[in-house]
Amino acid sequence: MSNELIKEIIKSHVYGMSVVEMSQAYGLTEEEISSVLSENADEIAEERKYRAMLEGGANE
Amino acid sequence: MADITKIKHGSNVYNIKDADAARQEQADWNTNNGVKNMLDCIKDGYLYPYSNYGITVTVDKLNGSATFNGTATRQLTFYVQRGNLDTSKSFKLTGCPTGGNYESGYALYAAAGSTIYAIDDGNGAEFVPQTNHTDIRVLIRSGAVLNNIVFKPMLRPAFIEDDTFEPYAMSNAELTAIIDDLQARVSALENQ
Repeated sequence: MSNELIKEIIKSHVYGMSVVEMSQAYGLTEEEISSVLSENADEIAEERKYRAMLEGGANE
Repeated sequence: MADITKIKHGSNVYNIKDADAARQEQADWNTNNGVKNMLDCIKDGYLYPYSNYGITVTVDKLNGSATFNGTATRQLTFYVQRGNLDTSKSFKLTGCPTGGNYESGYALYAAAGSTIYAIDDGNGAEFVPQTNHTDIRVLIRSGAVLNNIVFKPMLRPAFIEDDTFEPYAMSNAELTAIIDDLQARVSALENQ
C-alpha cells in the first residue's frame, strides 16, 4: 500500500468516514483499513491537530 | 428504619434532592436510547481481525469483544468506536480485563485527539467528554505480552451502576424506525 493511500485513509478517518465507507471508497478490505488506523495512531493525531487548528480547536 | 433521605429507583439509590434529576435522566435514557452499551463495535465499529507486529486480534462480531494474543513489537492503537457523546453528561468506560497498564502494557481509553479523558486499566473509569467527538481506543504498548486478553468494551451512562458487560444493541427508537420503514416497503410491494 502506498504512502499516499495511507495518508488518504488517515485523512478520511479524521474527517469522519467509517471503516465500511473507506473500504468501499478505496477498494480495500475492512481489515486492511482497520490495520492502517491501528498502525498510524501518531499520524492520525497529527492530522487531527491540523484539522483542529483549521477549525479553531473544535476537534481537539 | 428506612433512610428517608434516599429514594430507590430501579436498582439505583439516590438522595431525595437528586431524585428529580435522576428520574429525568432515566426517562430521557428510556425514551431516547434504552441501550446500556453505547459502543457499536459490531455493525459500525473499528475492531477487525488483525495480525502484525507480533499481535493477533480476533473479533467476536456477535458481542463486540476482541481477543489479543502475542508480544507487541511496536506500539499499536486499535480504534474501537467514535462516539458523538453528550458533553453535559457523565459516562463510564469498562471492558479492559484486570492487569492492564496504560504506561507499559495494555489499556482501554477514551480520548479526543491527544486529549485523554479516561483510562480503563481493568478498574473502569468515569469521565465527562469535553468535545462530542470522542474515540474509544485500545492501546498496546511495545513489548506488552498478551495471552488471551479479552477486551469487552462498554460505554454507558454513568448513572447505570451495573458494570456487567452487555453487547451493543440498537435503541428502541432505532428499531421502531426500522420496523416502520420495513412495513412501508412491504405495503408498497403489496400495492404494486
